[in-house]
Formats: sequence, C-alpha cells, structure tokens
Amino acid sequence: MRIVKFLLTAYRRIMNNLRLFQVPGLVYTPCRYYPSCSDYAGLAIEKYGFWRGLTRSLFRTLRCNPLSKGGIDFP
Amino acid sequence: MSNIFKIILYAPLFNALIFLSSFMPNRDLGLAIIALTVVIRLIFLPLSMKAQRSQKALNAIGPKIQAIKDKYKNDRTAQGAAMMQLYKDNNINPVAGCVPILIQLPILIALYQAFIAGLKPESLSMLYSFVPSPESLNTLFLGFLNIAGKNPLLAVLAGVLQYFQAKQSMSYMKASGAGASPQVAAINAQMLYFLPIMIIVLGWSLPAGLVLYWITTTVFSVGEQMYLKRNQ
Repeated sequence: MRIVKFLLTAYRRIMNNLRLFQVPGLVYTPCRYYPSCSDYAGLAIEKYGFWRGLTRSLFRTLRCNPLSKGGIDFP
Repeated sequence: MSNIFKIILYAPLFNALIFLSSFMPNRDLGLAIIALTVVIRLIFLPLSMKAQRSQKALNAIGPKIQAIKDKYKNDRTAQGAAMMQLYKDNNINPVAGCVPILIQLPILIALYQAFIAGLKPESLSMLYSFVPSPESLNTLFLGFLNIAGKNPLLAVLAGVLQYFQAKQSMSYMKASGAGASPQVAAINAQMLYFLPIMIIVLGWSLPAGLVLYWITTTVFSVGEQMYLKRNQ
C-alpha cells in the first residue's frame, strides 16, 4: 500500500513537471475528470483494496477519452 | 503483440522515413528525420495548442482549486460541484483526456525505433514494395555530420535548446497565474537545469540521428509557444 502511494505521488510530481515545462515529444492533455485519474486511483485503492481498486482505476483511465464528457466522478 | 506494433506503427514510420529521404538532396537521412518529425508535430499541433491553452488556464486558477479542496475536505459532493462551477466560471474545458497520452507513447517509441533502424542498412528489408529502395543509406547529414555515430556537440546543442524551451514554457504556463510557493519555485528551478543536463548525458551516447530528432522537436515546441504567447 505504501509503495502504491509512493508511486502515485512520484507520478504526480513527474507529470506536473512535464506539464509545466511542456517537455517536447508528447502532448500533455489536462484532466477531464475530477478528481484526476491518479487521485482517483489513490481513493479507489483505499476504498476497495488493491486489486479491485486498481481495476476500477484502469477503467476510469479508459473512460477519460475525447468521447466522454468528464466531470465529477468519485470512486 | 509485438507483431501488431511492428505492422501498424514501426514499419509505416520507417517506410515514411525512407520515402521522405528519397526527396532529399543526396538522399540525406538527417533531413528526412527532420521532415518526418515536423510532419508528426504538425499532425498533433491542433491538439497540442488546445491542451497548452487549457493547461495554462488551469494553472492560473491553481490556488482556487487548492482552496476548494481544503474547504470541502470531507464533503465530496460539494467539492466536486464547487470545482465544476469554478471550471465553468473560468471557461475551462479540458481537451481529450488520458487516452490520447496513452496512444502517443507507442507512437513515440516506434518513432525512436524507426530512426534507429533508418541508420542501419540491414533494415531495408522492411520496406513496402511501393517505396523505392535506396542502394545505400546516406547517414552523412548535410555532407559532413555522421548521424549514425555519436556526436557530443549535437548533444550539448540539444541540451541548450531544451533549457530555453523549458524556460519559455515555464514563463508561459505561469504568466497569468498567482506565484507558486517558494518550495515549488525551488523545485521548478532545479528541474530547469536538470532536464537539459539529462538530455546532454543521454544524447552523448545515443546516435546523433536521435539527437537531431530531439533538436527538431524542441525547436518546433519553441516556435509553437512563441505563437501561443503572441495570440493569447
């Protein structure tokens, strides 16, 4: 659990920097949903445990595409 | 899985590279790398500009977002509603979402592989029948720079350009936002130097063709942001 939290924090830090500096090579699209996918993953794993939380986070990430409306979506 | 990747991404990009090189003076592979990079950046340009504008707007209301998070710590519904209202009031409409980022990653990996393959003569067997096969690959960029080998000077140039690009981006992204906390500002300042150094260290031992790609894409970014800044 601690490792997951550490990874999520590290991911958020890296993404923040990539977004701020717009490191070339990728287009960094901002979040459509609230909370963001990484925050969602943290909450989902807290609520449902590791595997179910992870699966739900995965589907949430896939939902976050140009066809979805976005908006509020808590686990 | 790796076969699908090869068929739909890697092989087409490699063929595009060789195809483009046939139009270049002396079949210059370096010029073809630059051309292919520009084409790909142009395809992603509309998405990229929208995303950057949207990100800038989000950064500008960063302190307000934090305030809402703190205020409604225990009431998720209220927190979400306040956040949506804030987005609405500031005309923020985030584009695309996570999936486009996930799609870009394999494209980027395939592009790297295509460039590396383009520098090796034996990969020509991968060419489609309608792409004219060159007798040999010309890896001498502009007639004097061997892009199949290493080139520390080019790596340093890439690092310097990366520094200017990051600096420019930082000022654009924060231009209208409230000042970040001193801690965040310190981390940002560190990253400003860390990134170019990383590029130089990596570029030092990579084939110069890849470094050429990085230089092209960085210059493209600088141009794009100059345009965004002028038209904000």
